[in-house]
Amino acid sequence: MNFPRFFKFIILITFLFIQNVDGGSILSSKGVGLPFFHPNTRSMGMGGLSIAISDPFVISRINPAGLYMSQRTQLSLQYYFENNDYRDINGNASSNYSNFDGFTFAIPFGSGLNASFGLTPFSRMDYQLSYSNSIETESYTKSVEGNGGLNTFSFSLCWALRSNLSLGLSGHYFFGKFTERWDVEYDDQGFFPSKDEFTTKNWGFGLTTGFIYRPFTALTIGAIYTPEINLDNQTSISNLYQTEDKPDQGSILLPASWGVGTTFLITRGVLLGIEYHKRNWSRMAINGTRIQGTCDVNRLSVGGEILPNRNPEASFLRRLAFRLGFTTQPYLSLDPMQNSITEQWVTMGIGIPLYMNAAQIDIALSYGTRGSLDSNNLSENMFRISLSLTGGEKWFIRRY
Amino acid sequence: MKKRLITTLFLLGLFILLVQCSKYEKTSVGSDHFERENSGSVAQMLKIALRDTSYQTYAPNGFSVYLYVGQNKGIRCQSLLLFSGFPDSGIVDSVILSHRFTGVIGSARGSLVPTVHTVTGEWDETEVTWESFNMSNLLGDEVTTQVLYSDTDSVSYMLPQDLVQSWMDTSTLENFGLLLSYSTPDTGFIMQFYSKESPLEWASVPQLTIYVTRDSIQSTYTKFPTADAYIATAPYDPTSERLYIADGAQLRSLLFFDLDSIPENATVNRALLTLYNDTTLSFPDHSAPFEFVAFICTDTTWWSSFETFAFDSSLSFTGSVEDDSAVINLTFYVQNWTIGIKENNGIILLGKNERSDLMRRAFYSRTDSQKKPRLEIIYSLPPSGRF
Repeated sequence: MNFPRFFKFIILITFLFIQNVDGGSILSSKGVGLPFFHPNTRSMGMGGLSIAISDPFVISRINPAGLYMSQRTQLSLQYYFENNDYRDINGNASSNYSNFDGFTFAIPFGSGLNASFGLTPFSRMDYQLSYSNSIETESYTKSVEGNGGLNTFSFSLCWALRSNLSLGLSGHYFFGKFTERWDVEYDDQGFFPSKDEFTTKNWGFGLTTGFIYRPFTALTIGAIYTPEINLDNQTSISNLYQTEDKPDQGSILLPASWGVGTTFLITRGVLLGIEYHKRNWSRMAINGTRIQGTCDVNRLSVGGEILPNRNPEASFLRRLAFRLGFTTQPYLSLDPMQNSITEQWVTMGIGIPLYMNAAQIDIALSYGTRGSLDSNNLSENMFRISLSLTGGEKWFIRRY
Repeated sequence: MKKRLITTLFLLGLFILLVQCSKYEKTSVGSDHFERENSGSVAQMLKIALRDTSYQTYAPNGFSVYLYVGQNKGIRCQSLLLFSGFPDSGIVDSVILSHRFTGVIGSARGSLVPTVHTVTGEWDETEVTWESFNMSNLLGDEVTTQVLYSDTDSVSYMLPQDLVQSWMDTSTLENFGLLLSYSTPDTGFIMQFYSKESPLEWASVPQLTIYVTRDSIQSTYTKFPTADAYIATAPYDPTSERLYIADGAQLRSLLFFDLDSIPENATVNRALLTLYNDTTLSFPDHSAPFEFVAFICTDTTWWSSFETFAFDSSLSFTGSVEDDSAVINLTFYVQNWTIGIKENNGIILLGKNERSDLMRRAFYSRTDSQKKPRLEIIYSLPPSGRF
């Protein structure tokens, strides 16, 4: 397989997208930011179905037990773009965000033992606000700008106990930095501006366990569980003239989560699935204090896929995979009136095999809404593109 | 396989570098959903001077491009000139001193030819002051002059040839130069003329023309000062309820504001010091623009004495007097005091042209009920925490 050519293609696509990348949602200003639930691109095309999904041509990011079908050493790179049009009574604004959405590298060792490691985003902060005000006769603009987020470096092991049962365990190292900068700028040139910056560095370890069970060929059941994760952090404060000598030590408690899902192969070529995932975000705490105005997030996803024909001699169209899905969940934070902010997504995707099935490009398009002007005084319309490239080859083959 | 792996990792790194990019467009949309315990504040604070005073100092004016002679509204000026490089021998036939005036402070009246005195001892233009000159008793005898020409633009007068003859014959009288002044107690004007530091042509500078006969041949020598300086004084009442900034006579003002109530984490956006001008005491009048500079005091000894206190001359800010008030931006100083980089020992204000002109401004002090010196500070505070 010609890897460099693939990467050239990905880099070109990336350049096309990063010409216009801007900020994100104001909702990401709370807690650890906007949590990512970014499974692989295939799952994103199916409404996020990922707990009971396993595929030899993609690498499972959510359920470590999903690695059991990996038969080749594989590398998957994922890219992500989101456009967000948001509005409230003050007006409307638009933002674009694009970034590398992580990579995963999977290695099958044989005898049912597979491993993977990868880097994936966990949350994202990307917001900005500005207010105009005055003191006496002097007008000024105060603005706040936040960015950063958490990432995880994960190492996963999957062991297929039996042909229809696999167990998985992932160890995660969380790391990332949040930066929030407050600026005060005056209209009069005789003023010095203010720039106060809070920088929080976070780190900590977490675990995820999961299993996938196939009671019979057409039915797959999966489940995952992630216990509470305690992150340490330190926050330093600086302004234009000084940096605080001693950063404040703190902690962040990421609540536990669990999820179950199932897929059913209704015919030889059509897969349907449903999934429920819960994270108790209401238990999220910073420095031992629970964050007010948060709620538990119960995500329900349904989706399906018209499976591709893997026969290299089949027509190109029949070798494509087509996906459709829907997901609904409340956003983790409540609005100022303590109402829930509903988030819903409709997704579709396509899988394109390359190089005689040695590699695959997956594309997922999603359209989502979050909140409503009537009940939340904020509504967001979002459009996402996820693009991934997965390729691999067999390693550890005895050639004599 | 190894080669592919290295290539893959290289391209992976490049990919990550390329796609990490974001920029922002500031907006107020969504502000209701931005929750912080507090989001900082912008505040204003008005401080009245806790201490203020003025004092007179005597610093040398030898590098001024102007020389002054006369007295007006109590400011008294004299000029010192030293000519050298005379011929070794010969008979001095006549000596003419002439200089062109570049301006007059006040109303010139009567004869503009100054009184000339010899100087009895050494003086250094980089050190001489009114105080040092008079304490050393350097004033010699008055010299008889004979006016050749006198106008508001220039004067020309003869000095006794014996004087220069004796300077040439150093065993008779050593040459320490001349002092120009007006004998009238208050002339009501001060004449201004160029010094040797003037960037203009030498013709504008005072010149001494000497006619010498040697071996029956008369030669003419034109000499320009090799050293010159003006010395000035002004009456100053330390108990005055006004604060003074004066050039030439060198009056300076000191102020201290108690700023302990500004939080340490504040960013000082603007700190404006305002002084209210008592225009009746301006010199020569309050119509001309006047600039002054502020330095920070390095100690508080000025609270009790002006003998030893010092200020940091490495950084200054300039203010100006406009109409009936003077304003200077002290934001940088106040910021440094707030965060503790510098100690707040007060500021000193002095004329920007302290050693080259004679302007003076007077300001109301903190004893005035209405027009006290005031420091208006606008500062911002960050939020109390990140979350």
